[in-house]
Amino acid sequence: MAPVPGVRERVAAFVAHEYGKVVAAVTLATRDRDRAEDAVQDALVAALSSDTPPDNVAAWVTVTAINHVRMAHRRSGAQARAYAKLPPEPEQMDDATGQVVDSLTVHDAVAALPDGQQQIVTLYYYLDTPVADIAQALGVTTGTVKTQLHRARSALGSTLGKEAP
Amino acid sequence: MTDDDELRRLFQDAEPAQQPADPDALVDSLMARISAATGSADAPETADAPETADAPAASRWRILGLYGAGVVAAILLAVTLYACGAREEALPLVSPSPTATPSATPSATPSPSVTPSPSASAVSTPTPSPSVTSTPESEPVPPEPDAPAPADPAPPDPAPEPEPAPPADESAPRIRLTSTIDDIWEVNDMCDPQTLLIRATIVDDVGVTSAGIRYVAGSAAPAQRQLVRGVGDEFTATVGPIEAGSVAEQLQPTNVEVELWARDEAMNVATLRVTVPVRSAWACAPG
Repeated sequence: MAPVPGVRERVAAFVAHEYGKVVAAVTLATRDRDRAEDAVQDALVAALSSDTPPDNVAAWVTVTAINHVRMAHRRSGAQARAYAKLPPEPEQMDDATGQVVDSLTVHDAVAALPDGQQQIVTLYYYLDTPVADIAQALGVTTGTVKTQLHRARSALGSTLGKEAP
Repeated sequence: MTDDDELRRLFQDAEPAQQPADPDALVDSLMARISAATGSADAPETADAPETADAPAASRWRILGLYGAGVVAAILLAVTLYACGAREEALPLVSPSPTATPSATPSATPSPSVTPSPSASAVSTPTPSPSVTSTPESEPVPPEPDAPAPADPAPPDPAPEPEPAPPADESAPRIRLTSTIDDIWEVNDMCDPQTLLIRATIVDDVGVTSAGIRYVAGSAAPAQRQLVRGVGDEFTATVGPIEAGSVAEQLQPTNVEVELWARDEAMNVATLRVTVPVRSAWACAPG
């Protein structure tokens, strides 16, 4: 094997700067770190093996990996359905400070969103992906992304906002 | 709370990023997989420079490489022909052909050996491979092969026979796919086709009473359609349209199993499965 420097550099840069965040983002959306890591690697290999790699590799890999994990969940049982039906926990946080929302609640809040909104908020809030790049990665218009983001923000606000100071 | 920065902080606190334990090993492993996926050592180069600004440069190098290979092959051919000609000239001494001088004419035509190797072209045809699996469910080995029925006293048209029980019809209908299976797209504004016509011949010793297809495309609701009889034993049904967002949002198509089934009067059922690759509408990228 004689790897071409360009690809190796892209892989090395991704591993150094984005890999950890992308795995964490996929984990946040799927709550399955083991599968997230495998799916991110699979998606990265697919992205960089393609004749037309995506412009924003991190966004593409995130979306694809989330889909892969979800498909694995669907195949393996009703786990995904259970997540989808999971109601937002109403009054879980009652701690004295009200400043900290624990990670479980954030995971639950994200899991309660529709699939498309989960991807959008993960890309937007976790990976700081610009709206235009999200739109390209999902193959939708920026208007759609903004609309879904607005809805997701409202839903997250009502779920997590109760803990706001 | 609905402030974007606050949400960003919450998200990142909820799932802190962790760097891989051994980044170098991970890079090596990923590079090995990319090389394996592209099938050759130089394939990543094409993946690295696609439709972007440096794509013309990459394709220029590829064309130059092909030309170079062609020139080398032509020179080799010319040298070989020249050597053969010289040997012929040297050996017989009987009737040396005056026109036998192997000049530059052979090298004027590029050698056909520089065209892509047959193995590469064979690999590069991604035929969807319908992967047909036929399972006649209650077929206990027909006692005799299909007789053309010249001596059969029964009327030649077996379809409308409402007689209660044909004596011993224990063989299920036989389904044979006659159409090719191509990829279809989920519903979208740009990429076609979005439906696939399934064509099959279904024959039965007595008569097919009903036939259909059923499939589940990703998260879409299960679909079932009737196989409509056309001319003779030919039946058709349509797969799709499939709602956008049903299959995984990825570049590669998702295989959807479509089951064809047919039932005869004796309630014998045969099924046949074909795999239809369905492409996500998401992969139909604009531009």
